[in-house]
Amino acid sequence: MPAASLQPTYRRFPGTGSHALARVGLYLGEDHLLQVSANGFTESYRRFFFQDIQALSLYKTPLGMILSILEGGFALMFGLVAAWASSVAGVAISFWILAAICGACLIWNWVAGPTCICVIQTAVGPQRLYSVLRVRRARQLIAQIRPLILAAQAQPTLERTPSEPSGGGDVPAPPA
Amino acid sequence: MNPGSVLCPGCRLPLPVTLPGTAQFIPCPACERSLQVEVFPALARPAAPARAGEAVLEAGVSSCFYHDQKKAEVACEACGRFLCALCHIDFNGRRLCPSCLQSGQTRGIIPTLEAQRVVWDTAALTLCIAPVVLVVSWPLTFLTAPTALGLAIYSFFRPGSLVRRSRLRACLAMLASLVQIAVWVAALLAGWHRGTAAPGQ
Repeated sequence: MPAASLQPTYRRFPGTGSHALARVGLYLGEDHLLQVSANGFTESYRRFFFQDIQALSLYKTPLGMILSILEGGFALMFGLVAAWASSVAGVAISFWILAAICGACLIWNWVAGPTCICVIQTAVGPQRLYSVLRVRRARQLIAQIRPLILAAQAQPTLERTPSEPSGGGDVPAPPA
Repeated sequence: MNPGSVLCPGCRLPLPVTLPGTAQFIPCPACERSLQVEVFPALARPAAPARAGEAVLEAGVSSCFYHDQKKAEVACEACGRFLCALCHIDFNGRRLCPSCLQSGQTRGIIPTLEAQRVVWDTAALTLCIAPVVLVVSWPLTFLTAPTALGLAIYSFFRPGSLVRRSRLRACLAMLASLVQIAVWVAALLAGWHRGTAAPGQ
């Protein structure tokens, strides 16, 4: 066996998701995407080689809309309570702070854009990318890896043909 | 799944997509969900046919190391064993035998085969933080702090995360565990001192 291979280097793609009580992140390697699921003690790895990726698909989900409604509703509710309890300074300030937090979350949700589910398909089957939760992030990912995938799939694969030993020439006969 | 078909992520039925690989919004004919699908040439690539290997018909022809009745076609690039069409594995541009591939995985020589890894520095940090965050379990720090310190030290002798190279988490875990141990030692000393104090003092 040759000397130990150098550990590959990865570049993190922005975004974090969760799945099965684990935090999921996406990393870009030289010839593959790496999805890492970390539960605080172990890390699980799933690789998607550029040569094998058949399609990337994404569709919008209503999660972003639901979050906006909830955050807006809570901000409004806390604001109304703060206004109603304006005579009690401590209570009013507390609820104004809560309303401001909910408002900030609402603004952040609007800026981040609509939510989506991103699925990568290979010959094995479809696999969801749990860390890609926004349409904007998914499109950034597609734009980033599209040239890498096309370059990898433009190269000829190693063909398995009869009587083709590595390094050329016939397979040498074993010694008598 | 039929070759050359993209499945809808929602209903898992085939979508009517075609190459080339340009983004297009299409509605799923089954669930009518609007999707953006990016298609790549690998979708149209036919699957390589499975080959069982040719039988050895003539004397003196090399045979496979694992199947002596089958003709050898290639040699393993790692160990040099002769392999038939059934045995040799194309992996990352190399031709390997099953034994070398498995040993590469178990010994960690082939990083791209590693599917799971215990991350000792993260485990140490988790053991430090979790009992404190879960306020009711802070007494567990009496046990978790020394354990975390041991794990943090051990992590320096084991490979870390595949995607992180710094030892910051191990250092933070060591610092946090030392602080927790110091707090426990101070508390125990204070309690012992109070217990041994003379009456009336």
